[in-house]
Amino acid sequence: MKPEDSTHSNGPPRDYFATTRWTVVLAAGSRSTPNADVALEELCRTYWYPLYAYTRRHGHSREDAEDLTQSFFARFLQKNYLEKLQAEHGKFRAFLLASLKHFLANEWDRARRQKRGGGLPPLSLDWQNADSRYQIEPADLLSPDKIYDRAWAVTLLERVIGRLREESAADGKAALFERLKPFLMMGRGDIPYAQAAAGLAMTEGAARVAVHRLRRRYREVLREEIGQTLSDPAQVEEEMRALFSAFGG
Amino acid sequence: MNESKTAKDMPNQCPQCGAALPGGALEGLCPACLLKQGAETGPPPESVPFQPPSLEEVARLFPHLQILAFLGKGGMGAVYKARQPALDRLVALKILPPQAAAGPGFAERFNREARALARLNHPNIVAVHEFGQAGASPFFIMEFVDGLTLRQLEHAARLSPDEALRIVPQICEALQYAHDEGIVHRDIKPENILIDKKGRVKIADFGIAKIIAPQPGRADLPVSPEIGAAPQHGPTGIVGTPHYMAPEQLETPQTVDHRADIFSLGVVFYEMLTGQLPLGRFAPPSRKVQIDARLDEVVLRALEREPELRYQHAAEVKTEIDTITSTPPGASPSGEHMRPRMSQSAPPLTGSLQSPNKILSSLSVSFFGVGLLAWPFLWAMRANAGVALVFILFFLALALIFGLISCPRRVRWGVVTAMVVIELVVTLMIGVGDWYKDAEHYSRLNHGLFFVLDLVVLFVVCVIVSGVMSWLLKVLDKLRTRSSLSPAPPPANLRVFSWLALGFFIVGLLGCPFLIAIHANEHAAVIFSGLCLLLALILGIISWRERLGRVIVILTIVLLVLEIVLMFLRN
Repeated sequence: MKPEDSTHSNGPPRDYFATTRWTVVLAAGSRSTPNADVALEELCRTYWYPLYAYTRRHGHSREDAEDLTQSFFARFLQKNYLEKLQAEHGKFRAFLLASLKHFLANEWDRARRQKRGGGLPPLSLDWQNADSRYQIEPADLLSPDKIYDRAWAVTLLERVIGRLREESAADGKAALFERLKPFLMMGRGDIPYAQAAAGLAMTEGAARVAVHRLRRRYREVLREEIGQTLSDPAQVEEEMRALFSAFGG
Repeated sequence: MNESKTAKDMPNQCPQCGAALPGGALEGLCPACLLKQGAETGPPPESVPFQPPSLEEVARLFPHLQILAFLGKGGMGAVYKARQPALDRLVALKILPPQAAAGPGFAERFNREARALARLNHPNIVAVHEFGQAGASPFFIMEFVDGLTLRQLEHAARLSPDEALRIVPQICEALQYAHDEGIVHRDIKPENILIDKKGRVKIADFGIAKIIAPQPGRADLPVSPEIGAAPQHGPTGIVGTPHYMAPEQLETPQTVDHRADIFSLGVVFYEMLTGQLPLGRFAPPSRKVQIDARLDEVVLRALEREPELRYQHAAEVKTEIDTITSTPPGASPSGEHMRPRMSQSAPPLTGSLQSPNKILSSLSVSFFGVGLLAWPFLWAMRANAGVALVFILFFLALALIFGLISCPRRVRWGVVTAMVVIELVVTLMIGVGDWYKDAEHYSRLNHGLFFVLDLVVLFVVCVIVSGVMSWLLKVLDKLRTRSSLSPAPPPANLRVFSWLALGFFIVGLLGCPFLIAIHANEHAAVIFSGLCLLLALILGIISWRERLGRVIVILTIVLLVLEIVLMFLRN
């Protein structure tokens, strides 16, 4: 971030990077602290679907993929990997994938022979939804890594949009949000304000302001959510670029 | 987790970038476009997209120019047509957005790059005459090209493959020249490729992307001229997307070299041939349009994800295209130079790089040959002349069918239409002849007309059969690509052999009973079909690695054994 950027963002100052969930986890290391455990579980709850998509693309059946993801998390939440995979510490996305690869290569067979996750309580995840979602997604022949990145980006955006939706609902503007949502995808110059205003029964100026506010808030929330998975706030743009490139070529 | 809905009722393509939309809770929002907009760090809210200055304003800024017209606006500035009265020449004046000049170190970078650009002197590159800064805006005075951009051409009409093959080598020459000078374009796309009235290609905006691109240290996306800035030509909706960029331009912008241009060239080439962008899992061009299948390899290699696997020089692309256009499709050394690369390229493409057209036209040729050769052969066997004629016509019809299958669909339907029209006319004439029943010429006329009608009916039947067969082939081809993701397909030319084996097998099979039916010498008939089957056997053995080849070998052996046993039994 350029320092001067913060001058035109009202709302909370951009200190959300100070304690991202991922930095909390990393700071705790392999010790178990309540904060770190909650943060890690929160991260896993959010980003488990990319792992599932990755394992499915790797050729595992639905049952196997569920089982595998679950066993992996059991292992992962014990922080077995924090020491082994120092290099990937910067980004939770990369760390999670590297951990999964490690797990697939070294531990999956063993874990399967034991009971699910070695008797640890499983993370409750929505498997039914996962499979239908995996089926819906475009059947491209992408590499598992790319599938993983795409699923990651989609999950992230779902979370961002979900948060925006909740915020709008809290302000009593749920319906407005649904109408304005598509403009988040358009370039600044492409937004048909006049048309939007007519559809919303407001003046063009008001529509312009509403769209502009939503877009700004969207960018803030997006950066904030990305930031939660990083150890270094300066990497947000880089991470965003990496996620964007998952959809290119 | 957010509540998820099923994707039943949402559009499955993004209206902005055309990419397929994922299901789930995004509910019709396109993740790529969302990220793209999210990546905008947003210049101060009050800043508006670049508004090109009015003609008057430009005239005021450039008193030494006669500003004639506003030509267009893109993310990289606005272009005006102007006249330099002193030199009496037309020029294009490009004014970059003032925001471009705002970044740190811009002036120094601009001077350095612009000097390098001004040194480029090539017939296929828009020359830079002058550059500088007018007010807040950097500008270039460039050669004026009287023509259209490739994008405009593509919008006006689909380019034919031949036109594409005339344009691409010129782009290659320009790129090679610039690359030799150490300049990478970084933004090759149809909007930047101009074609003048003489059909000459001129590439514009060399290196401007680099001038505008923010410095690596800035928190902005380094690719912002495409991603962040205003779209280049709003209505088309295509530009302003990363579709023409090499993967490394998005992923590791610091390491981009001239091979990024080769990737973009591949995208442009693919789009020119097929009218579509090579997105996701895309088919090789020859699967979409009727072109020489050897071009697939050129396009796909330019589009390799890894720069190391692409052509390393633009000149190589030109050389390959020149080789392809100067040698007939069949005569390529494809066997040895196609194989090693196919295994490296994307797996879905390996199945059917070899278009069936080559095979079908060779079948057509073989049937044509049989039809022609049959005449002296039958004559030697003292066959009934009329029956011999039928025999020959039969094989010529086969040749026609296969020839028609392998020709473009448009031609085929043209033939059908022509035939139907002729038939209608003939029927009408017969009707008219019927009306003048008294004439004694009637019967002769009628006879002649019916002969024509017969021929026409034969042709129409051939065309319809060929249509059905080509449809079947397409279905088979689809099935084959679906099932053939396994590695290492046999070399393409083997498939031609196996198809030839099939041709001879059919001839051998049909030949024997047919010749016997027309009272030819039985021994001769058996020898004839035996020879054909033997050839089929040899060709089948050559193409043993193809399934078709194996099947034919087995069938032929069974048949030959049967035939020999039968002969012995009879004697």
